[in-house]
Amino acid sequence: MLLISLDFEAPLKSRVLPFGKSRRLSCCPVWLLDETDQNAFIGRVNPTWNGGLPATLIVNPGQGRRKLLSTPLNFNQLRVELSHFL
Amino acid sequence: MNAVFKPLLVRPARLLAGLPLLLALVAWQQPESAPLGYGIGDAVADFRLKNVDGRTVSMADFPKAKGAIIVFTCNHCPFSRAYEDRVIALNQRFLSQGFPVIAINPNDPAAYEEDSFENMKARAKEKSYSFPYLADETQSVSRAFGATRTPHVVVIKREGDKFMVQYIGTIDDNSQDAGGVTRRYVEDAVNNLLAGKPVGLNTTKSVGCAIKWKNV
Repeated sequence: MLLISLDFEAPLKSRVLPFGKSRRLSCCPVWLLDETDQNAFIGRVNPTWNGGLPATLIVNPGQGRRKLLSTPLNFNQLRVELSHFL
Repeated sequence: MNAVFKPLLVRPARLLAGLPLLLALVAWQQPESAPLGYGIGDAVADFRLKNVDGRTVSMADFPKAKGAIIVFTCNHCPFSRAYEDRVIALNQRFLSQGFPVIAINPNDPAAYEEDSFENMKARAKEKSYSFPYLADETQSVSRAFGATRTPHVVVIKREGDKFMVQYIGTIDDNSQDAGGVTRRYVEDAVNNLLAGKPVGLNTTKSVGCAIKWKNV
């Protein structure tokens, strides 16, 4: 699992990193995407993504499949979605 | 430019027709992921929503408007906050030219206390909003406009007694740094409309906070 923060760069040290610590996100790499031209990259992440956060992209390179879920997911919803990819 | 919306329009219908087993999945996905809304060129149905000043506002209240800049925004979202001063500037610039800003909060206040009507009033006062800031309590207007996140802008233009959608998307190309903006999508769209020209780039995407829909 890869977590990508779309927070602004300015509060990285004051807010983003402490948030990651408080939520114990040490499980996985956390990247901060600091690309300002969103209109250019959103469609490249997935053509169906509307840009809404949170968004989850499930990728199975072996099957060449990916699915973008542009909605908050609880644990069970995520489990169900993942099960289609296993 | 409309291509990005087409899969969203087509897919749910196909799933419903061909794969009834997926109904449950579609049913919980649809309210949050892909409300189907107006497209470019569609006529907008008038709406009537409660403003922070206690009165209700509809497009009929703007008989002289050539159009409007409808901004789906809210109190809690950092992206909305980053654009707040730019939304205020849009109204200052275009109200007198016949394109008032109309801000609409689409969120379910039960999900974010910060987006409650009381907090909307407080924010409008604090920042001296010079435009209506409306609560979409039933979320029906936000759904009609196909809003999925905040901030989200729809520019409409009057044609006779109707208002037609001209632009759907984001305000400019740099949410985190107003000083680093190189393309002002909404300004360009409205300026083109005022000059009687085609909008040009009429659909853009941006990162924003997913709208919190009420459980229906």
